[in-house]
Amino acid sequence: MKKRRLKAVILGLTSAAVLGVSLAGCGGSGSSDGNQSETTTGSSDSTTSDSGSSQKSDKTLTVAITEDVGTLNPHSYGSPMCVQALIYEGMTRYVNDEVVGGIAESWDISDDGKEYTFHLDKKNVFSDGTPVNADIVKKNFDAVLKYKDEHNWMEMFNVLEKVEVVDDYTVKFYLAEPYDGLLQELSLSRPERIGAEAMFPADGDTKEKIAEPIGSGPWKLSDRVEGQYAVFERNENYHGTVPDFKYLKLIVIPDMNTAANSLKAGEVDMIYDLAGHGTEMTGDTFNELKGSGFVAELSDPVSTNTIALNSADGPTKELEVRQAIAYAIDKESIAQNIYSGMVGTADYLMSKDTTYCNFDDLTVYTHDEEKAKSILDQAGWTMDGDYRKKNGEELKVSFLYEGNNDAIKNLGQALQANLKKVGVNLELVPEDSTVFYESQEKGLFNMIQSETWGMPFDPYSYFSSFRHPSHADYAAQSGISEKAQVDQSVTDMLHATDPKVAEEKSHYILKTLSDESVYVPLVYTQVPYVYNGDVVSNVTFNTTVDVQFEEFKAK
Amino acid sequence: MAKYVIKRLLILIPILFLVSIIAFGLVRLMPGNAEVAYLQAAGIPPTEELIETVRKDMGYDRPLLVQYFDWLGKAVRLDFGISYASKKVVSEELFGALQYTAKLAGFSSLIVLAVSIPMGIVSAVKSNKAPDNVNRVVAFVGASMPSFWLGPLLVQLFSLTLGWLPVQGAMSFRHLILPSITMSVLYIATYSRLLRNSLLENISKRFVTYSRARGVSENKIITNHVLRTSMIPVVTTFGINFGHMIAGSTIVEVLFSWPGLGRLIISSIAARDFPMIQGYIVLMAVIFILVNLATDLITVVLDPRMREAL
Repeated sequence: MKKRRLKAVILGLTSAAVLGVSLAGCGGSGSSDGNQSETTTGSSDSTTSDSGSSQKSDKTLTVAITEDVGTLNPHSYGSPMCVQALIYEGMTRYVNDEVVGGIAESWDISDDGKEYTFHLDKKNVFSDGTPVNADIVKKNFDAVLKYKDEHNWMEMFNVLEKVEVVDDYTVKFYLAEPYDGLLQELSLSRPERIGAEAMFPADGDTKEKIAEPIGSGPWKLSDRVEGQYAVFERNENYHGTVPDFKYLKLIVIPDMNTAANSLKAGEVDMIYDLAGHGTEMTGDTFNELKGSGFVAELSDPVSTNTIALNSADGPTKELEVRQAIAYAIDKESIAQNIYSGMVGTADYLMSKDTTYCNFDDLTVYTHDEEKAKSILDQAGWTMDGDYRKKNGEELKVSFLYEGNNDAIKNLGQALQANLKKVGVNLELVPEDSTVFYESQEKGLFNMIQSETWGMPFDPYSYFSSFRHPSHADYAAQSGISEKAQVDQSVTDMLHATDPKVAEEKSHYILKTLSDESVYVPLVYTQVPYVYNGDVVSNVTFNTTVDVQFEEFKAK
Repeated sequence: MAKYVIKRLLILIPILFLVSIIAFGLVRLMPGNAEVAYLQAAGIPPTEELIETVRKDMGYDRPLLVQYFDWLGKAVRLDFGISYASKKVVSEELFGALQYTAKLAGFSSLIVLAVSIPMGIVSAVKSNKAPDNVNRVVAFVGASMPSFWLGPLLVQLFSLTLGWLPVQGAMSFRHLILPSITMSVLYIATYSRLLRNSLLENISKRFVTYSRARGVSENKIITNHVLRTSMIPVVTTFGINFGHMIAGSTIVEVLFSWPGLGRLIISSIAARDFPMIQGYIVLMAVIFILVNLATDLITVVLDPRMREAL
């Protein structure tokens, strides 16, 4: 996992003409002391770029996606994240749990952590041949910063004050406060990826629309029929790993069963479900395709699927009730029966692989019905018929979830059965997405389905959201006596320049939340993907937001 | 006749006025507020400040009546605004999707007519005999099969087993066949029985007896006289159902990834894309009214007695 010292990783293909395809990696320099100015080299060093496409395939990889490719605007949220990442590059990239170079091939961080100087790859050009220089980087960031309030769910936009050109290929980012997560957030697919001059409309304002989708990413748009498909051609100018496939065709298939049939019929070569845990691709579909000879795999855990318990309202205000619920839930059975074994059970809110989250002393609640009953007995909740009562009031807990999601509905029913065994009456409250959102914001729930944001948002963006009332996490945590300290620790962690301080703060946050049993971590989300092994190989999924098609190999 | 058409078209105005109130009102009655919907559709986590900004930018802080007349003023010029989700002009998106749905509904209608008319005639001519009984069973089975079940069955047979037709998409005529069949089976079942009963009713009327007495051939009697009269209830029902075909194509469009209105409105409802939902409701009302008008006109052509009623 990423440490403070950002180890450079070189992923380019080298000597392709002679040696064929190979991956090379090497360590880079970087100080482990966060108080020292550091220089880090990213992966996009021109010496590691693919030396050409003479040995590349001329084949097309056809993939099903559930929604249209959208506006293709890198400064807005109108396209699936994985699609934006095809065309546009960010300043950095997040690959295999590491921040590596993107448009910036290296960077220096000032001693006080408030100035980041990025050095751009001088040979890098956009797919239309124009240079990726400091001016265009500044122009992109100026366009995004104009509407920074819309993006302040990312801490980066709360601290980033301005971007200045130092010379043709050097830009400097000025921060109001040091922010350790900046490099990780700069890798996100939006809204801060870099487009060419030709992308900007005449008025230069990219909020609503762009002129043309021109970036410096591994692919460029070649053909599109809205609502049906989009074809991307490999960008021969790309300074990273030039894709092996000549074309990438994304076909819009909203229904996963239809997508599975298309795979069987050979109309598409690959399907996947970035949301994971049975949201779109059920375990039945996954297993059936696996049995039909397709390669069906699961990514490493990319986020954690949890139940958040409202510490400020209803019976879940009581710590004992929250603890009893955590002990009563049979995660193993849920993983097997609700998610068809496509996920692993989760003990921690944040996977130990996540930056600053590898702690052994967090409280873990393993399934133990007797313990749950005993805690409730001691707290004065006594059995009266099927359910427990205290002071004449039944132990009734509401579970709020988005009603259009069958997987979560099934989860709710499983939780209902689990909790009934210990005398807790779980009331299922399905709502549509808008009401769900409003209810979670106002804290109108006792239990709510929740999820960490996944890589590369974790832990920075996710922890940052704890402090904003618009998120369920805020409402769920708001009843614990340490809430103010948790929020302060989040702020301190985000702005720490010393990794030891950041780790210490992260430990306090996670330890407090686990002791207070605000979350019941259920399962780790893994991305299921199925593909035709006769067409494509070297398929990997690292995050819930990005698919590195450029790494896939044609057969 | 022209006067009648003009009169019917004029009636459109008060009807559409009512529809506009319903479209505007229903969307406001939907759970959740428009500002949150706008931000969510754009993928932006709503905060109190952003909600307030959107409220002002979109004019949602104005009185409801002012908002309505502002919206109506634009709607009469087919300007339903910009989609929250796609950031595109709503009317362009709606008409783009309508083309696909109309293609699907149109081809399905052709299949329905091509199959149900011969089935109805054979059933009537061979009433209660083997062909009629076979058609009855076929109609019963067809009417009992929901499209979400029939569609995958057809895909299994024609796409996966035989490999004759594509599973999904809208790129060629071949892509149109399976969704059209899926959509038409229910209507074939209905119309073939409707036509059979109507034919049997008319076949026993006096004009048929007189025609036979005049020595007119049985084929001519059926095709030129009985069928024409018997088609009236079929055409009337068909007129109503054509609107349903367009409005009710959602399941088939999702099943076959057909980029029509049904798929568009499903995603728009999920995203609370209010401008798109409002535009859709108005468009559907216009389609229903125009199709009904066309149906009435066809009925007049088929039955000269109706002209006197105009």
